[in-house]
Amino acid sequence: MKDKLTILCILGPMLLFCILGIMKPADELSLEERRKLEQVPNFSVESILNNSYFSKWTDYLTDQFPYRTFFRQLKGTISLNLFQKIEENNVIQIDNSLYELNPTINEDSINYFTELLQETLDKYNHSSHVYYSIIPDQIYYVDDSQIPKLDYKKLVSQVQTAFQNYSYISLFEELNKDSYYQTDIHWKQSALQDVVQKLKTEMQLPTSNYSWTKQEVTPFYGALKSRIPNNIKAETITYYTNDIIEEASVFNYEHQQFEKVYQKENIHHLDGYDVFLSGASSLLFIENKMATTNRELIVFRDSFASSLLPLFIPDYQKITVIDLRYITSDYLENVEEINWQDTTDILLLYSIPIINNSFTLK
Amino acid sequence: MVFSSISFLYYFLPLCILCYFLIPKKFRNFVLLIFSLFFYFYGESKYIIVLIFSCILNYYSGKLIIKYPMQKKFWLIANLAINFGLLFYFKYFNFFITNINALFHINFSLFHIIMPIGISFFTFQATSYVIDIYKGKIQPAKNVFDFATYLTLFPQLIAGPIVRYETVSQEMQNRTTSVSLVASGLKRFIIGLGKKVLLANLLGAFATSLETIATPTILSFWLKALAYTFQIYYDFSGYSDMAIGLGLVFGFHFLENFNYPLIASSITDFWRRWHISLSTWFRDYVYIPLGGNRAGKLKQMRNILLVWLITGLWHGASWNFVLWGLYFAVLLLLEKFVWQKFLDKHKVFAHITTFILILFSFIIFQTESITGIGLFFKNLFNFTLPFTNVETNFYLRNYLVILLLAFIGMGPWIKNLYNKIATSKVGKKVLIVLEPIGLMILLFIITGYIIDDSYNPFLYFRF
Repeated sequence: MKDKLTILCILGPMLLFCILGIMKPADELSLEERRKLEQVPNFSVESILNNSYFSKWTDYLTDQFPYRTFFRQLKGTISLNLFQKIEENNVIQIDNSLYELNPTINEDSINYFTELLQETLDKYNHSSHVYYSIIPDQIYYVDDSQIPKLDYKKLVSQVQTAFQNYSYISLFEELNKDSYYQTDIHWKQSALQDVVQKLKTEMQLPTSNYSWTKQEVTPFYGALKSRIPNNIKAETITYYTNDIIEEASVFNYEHQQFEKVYQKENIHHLDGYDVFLSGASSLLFIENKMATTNRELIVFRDSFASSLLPLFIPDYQKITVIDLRYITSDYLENVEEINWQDTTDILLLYSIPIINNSFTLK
Repeated sequence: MVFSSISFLYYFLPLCILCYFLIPKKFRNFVLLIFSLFFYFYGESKYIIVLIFSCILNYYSGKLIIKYPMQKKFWLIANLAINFGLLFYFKYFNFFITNINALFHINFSLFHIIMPIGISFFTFQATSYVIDIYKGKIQPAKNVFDFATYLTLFPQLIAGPIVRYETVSQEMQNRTTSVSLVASGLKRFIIGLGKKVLLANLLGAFATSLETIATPTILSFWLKALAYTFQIYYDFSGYSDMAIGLGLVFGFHFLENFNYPLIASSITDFWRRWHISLSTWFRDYVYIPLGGNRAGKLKQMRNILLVWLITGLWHGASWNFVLWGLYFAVLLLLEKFVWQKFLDKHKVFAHITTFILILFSFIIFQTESITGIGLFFKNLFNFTLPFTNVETNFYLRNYLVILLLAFIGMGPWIKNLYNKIATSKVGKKVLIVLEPIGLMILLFIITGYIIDDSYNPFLYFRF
């Protein structure tokens, strides 16, 4: 009896999932994991010889496994509850927020980051004033001495040593742990008043009193949400707009088309943060059609800037937004639309996870 | 193909078992051969040629030894030269060239050689087959297909245990399968898979976390050594459990390969319990033919040093493996000629020191460069480093339960407890239902871990 039951309990699920797996149509995306899933690989003699063909089959069968989400959740639950792990997939939950662990400083990456930006600016910058800011990751604000954290002082100091000719604007005091989404690495636009104020003051922008309208879009599930089992509810993205922003044009160089500053419908993208400035884009030109100034700004940035820059549109006639993860610094010389000559300010705005893992910059 | 993959667990294995039992008995070896060749082809497509060549070479070598008894020594030497020549080329050639270059300050180019998976295992199995025929211990396989089935048998093809032909020669011709054998084979397989996926992989992740901490501490080095040791043990013994379990499903009885080696009371005892199929292979085919311990103490010392030098090299073409082998040779010699009696009298001391010596051995095993090994040992006792820090404590807390499970699993205590329950009246009844369901839950948990390993957050691409 026991033997038969053992065979049934082990071979039964194996056969059942084998049949279900064969019958199940392949999914293209995993919204939960925010990535494309592997599809049936193309056959070629070369792919057989270099072992990539069957390796892709393994990935395909794993990605397309029936009830994949259930099994991932089961793993997470066992990991946290049975094995009593504190982190899962390098993410920890404290109170009602998720934090990514990134405690090891990568000096090579910091050097690469500073050298690349210095070389780029040496090549293109004429006489603009260069400012730079470092955006801390949210775990910096966790008040728990048991959680390993990066040596922030060391990282900032290394960047400062390299960027001696540029003006540093520290944002560490202007943020707190509530400035970030509970399930995402990014900051909330609605929590950036102090950041905006600090940047404007340091960049000597005239004080202005624009009126803003608050808008909300939901549901927002952050990038950390599916990496650890949690009961955190869907969040809301709050953004601020006004006539100037509504009238502003955003030219996406990569797509060769005009887009809106905020695109509500992008909340349903793999990354809901794409609501801001269409998400990942190599090069954007934002023009303020109601500008009362001729100031121009060039920003070298990562995704954090997407939610911050709309708040600067009223202060500039034109903002050029460059993301070196998607465009090489060498290529910039081919882009005539970048007005290096007349640009007033250049801002380097990067978050710590990118500075500490900068080899994606080109 | 690896056992701990969805493709194996949910496609290859159930289909193989289904075909095996649906097809008449006389074709079952053929089913195993086809599936085994596909198993190898799936993971190492172009080197299937090497495997097939090895099957043909060794089968016909055996035939020639029987057919031409007057020239059997010639055929044996020719066979060993080709087998070990192939192994040398794929596994050691570049290592050899690198050392020649370093020794004579020359610059021979290295070859772009990728080693066929499992070549060390199937070469040793094949040579044991030919040597045993030469010695008259076994009769050759009935035909080349039977021999190829034995050599390529997927449960033990890529990571052992080294199954000698004499162990399974009867079962190659005539083996019985039963519900009980299949059930106990599947149970053993799932437990082995659990050891690999839930313990070895997580202990590997623990070691990796400790490797990348910003400020290493004395405790982090000790924990890393511990994590390495447990990882290697659970990885390898888990694989052997899976192989033995799958063997049972198909009616084969492979010999045990591990017997709780981490609770050994001496290094001699450790090697009676660790990778038994390899140590007995070296004992029977190298140590004893060299004279073993029957030719005086000096020759015995030479034989031990030589066997352990080769054992080290068998594990990999790198100086750390040579050092690893010699480390054990020295310890075995010391035990044999200096302190075995002392260890016999002080059992607790013997267990503790043996465990620490094993721990040290796996530092050598895992660290490729000789300077890296020196640095690791130095850091274990480097009192200028902090004893511990926030990061070390964090990762220790994070993996504490896994570590405790690893400690508990290194002895027979769980097995003994299970046997006690299984032999009691109530326990026997309860286990009829609980055990199969428990195994199914374990399979699902393992599946979750395998699936989440493929987890590749979009975050890292775009952020």
